[in-house]
Amino acid sequence: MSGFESKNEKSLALARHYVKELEAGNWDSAEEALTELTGIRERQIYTELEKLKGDFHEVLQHFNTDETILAFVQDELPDAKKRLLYVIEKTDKAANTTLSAVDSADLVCEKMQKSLDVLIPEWKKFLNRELTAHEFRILSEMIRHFFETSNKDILEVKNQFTEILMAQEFQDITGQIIKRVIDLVSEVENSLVKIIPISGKHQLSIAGVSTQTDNKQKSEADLHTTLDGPQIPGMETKGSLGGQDDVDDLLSELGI
Amino acid sequence: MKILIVDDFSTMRRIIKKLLRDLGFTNTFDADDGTTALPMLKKGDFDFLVTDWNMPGMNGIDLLKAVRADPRLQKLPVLMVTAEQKREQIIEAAQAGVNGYVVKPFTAVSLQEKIDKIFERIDNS
Repeated sequence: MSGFESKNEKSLALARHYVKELEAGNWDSAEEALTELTGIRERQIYTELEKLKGDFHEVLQHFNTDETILAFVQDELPDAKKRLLYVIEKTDKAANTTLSAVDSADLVCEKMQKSLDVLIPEWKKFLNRELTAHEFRILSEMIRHFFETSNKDILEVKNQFTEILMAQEFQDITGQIIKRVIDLVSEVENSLVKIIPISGKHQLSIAGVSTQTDNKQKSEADLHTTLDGPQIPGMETKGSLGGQDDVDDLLSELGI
Repeated sequence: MKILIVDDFSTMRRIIKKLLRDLGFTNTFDADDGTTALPMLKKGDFDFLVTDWNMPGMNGIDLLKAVRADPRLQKLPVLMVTAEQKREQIIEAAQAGVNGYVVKPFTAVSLQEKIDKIFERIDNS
């Protein structure tokens, strides 16, 4: 039998007793039963209030002492916004670089195709012995010119391919940045999960989640202390160098 | 020349692979972290290792240390290509015996320069 049912049974018995005593005209005994009956209710309310007071106090304490939450609100969330804006900027730049490179390569291909459109029919005429010596001299000059420019043009197309290739590095950089923002979101989630159980009723159902995220957060925190990841313009980490030139200077100091 | 490229992002592995091919290095293999790379290095006769730093599983600096600790691999030239550019980290990599260090984002030209420099030094030594 649950506590709730036993309390109800007790209340019911007391109520019956109260009515019985009233009907019998035993006023004192009836009064006693009534006092006991209302007492049950009062005790219940009191216990709940005490518990609520305790929970409330604990939540407030937690907010006051948990510096991580303060750090999230003051520093890390604005940082995360800057990081995500940088992701937009990076992807935008990569897309534009790629599109421009495709446009340039396309122009070169069109130019080569136009030259071929002229050369191929002339070449056919030559094979059919339809060209005069003078016309052949012009054709051979055109072919020489085509060979010369083709070399440059192919190189140009290849350069544009390299541009497109290099533009794809955005995926690595933005991937690392987004991973960090996901870590931050998990940390915020974890802090909130820790606070929610204090309010009591969901304690059991959330306890499991809390331990899981605890471990996860720990290993991520370890990573945070050792590696900074891609530097974002305007929010470089302390001790970070300003790019390849600075790195090269340090390396040559170190004899590499 | 047999080269191993280690990076957890497949796009970056492909970029480095293509750049190396443009430089005339066609015999390239790749791995997504140190745990996968180390057995490959121990088994295969690689001449050059290009590795990222921040990777799940075994990261690049631990891979470098493992390479230097292996008598058969300790002379293998190692180039780090990474977004990490903290002074202490570069010093750590140098102390662990890195041969070159390229910061992401990088250009095709800077990668070539570093590779040329590494082999120039090896040829001279």
